[in-house]
Amino acid sequence: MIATALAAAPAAAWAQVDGSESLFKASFEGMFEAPSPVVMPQGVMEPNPPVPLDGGMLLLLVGGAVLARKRLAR
Amino acid sequence: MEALTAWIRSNRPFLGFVVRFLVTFFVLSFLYSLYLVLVKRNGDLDMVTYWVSRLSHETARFMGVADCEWSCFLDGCYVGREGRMVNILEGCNGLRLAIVYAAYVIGIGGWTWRSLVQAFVGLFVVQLFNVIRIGSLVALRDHGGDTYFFFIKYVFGVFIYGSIVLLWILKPRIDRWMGAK
Repeated sequence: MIATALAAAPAAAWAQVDGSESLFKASFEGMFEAPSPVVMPQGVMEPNPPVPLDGGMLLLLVGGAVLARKRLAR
Repeated sequence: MEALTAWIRSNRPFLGFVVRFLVTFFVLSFLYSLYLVLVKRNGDLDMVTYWVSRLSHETARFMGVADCEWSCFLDGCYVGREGRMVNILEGCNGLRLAIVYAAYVIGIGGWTWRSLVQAFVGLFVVQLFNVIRIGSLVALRDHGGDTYFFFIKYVFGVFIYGSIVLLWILKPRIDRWMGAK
């Protein structure tokens, strides 16, 4: 019986090592791989019309100068 | 050469205005651009766009837009009902226009406490006009139809620029309210 136990113990120990190795592998699986990109849904909303950004800025600057010229000329 | 000197002499107040106007405009624009760079580097949305969007959302709800939603991302915010949202970008936040307003006020009045107070309050007044503009835009988009496209292309541009010119025209009156002679 003792001899059987002595023969089986190393096998059991190897199985344990193998199990913990696979656990170790599983916990690191995918850790160093690049994540797959998140795909945002397209075309959910109606498209926005083109917004005039800063279009009148120059006009406003010139307008301010004209107004000041009129005011300071008095 | 003498004619130029005479012209400069006779237009000294206006030239003083131009210098103050442009210097204030470029300095404030530079500071704002610097702020935008820092915000972008930190991966945030700028606070002006955030607050304009948030207040526009409240204005749209006040105007009767039911189920009005509001969500912000790095490039701007979306306000409105699902499927009919308005995208509010940094360029829509009105701060650059408010800077032009402030530059004019300082250009005309110089670096006095009265001008600085007017410029500071003006930044908020222009933003108020802008919030009303975007809130109305969200309400119009929710209402549907072609009026939205007409308003965004013509009416709201005139509204926001007109509000600044109106404040400029009212400036002598505001000066008098503040005790100027």
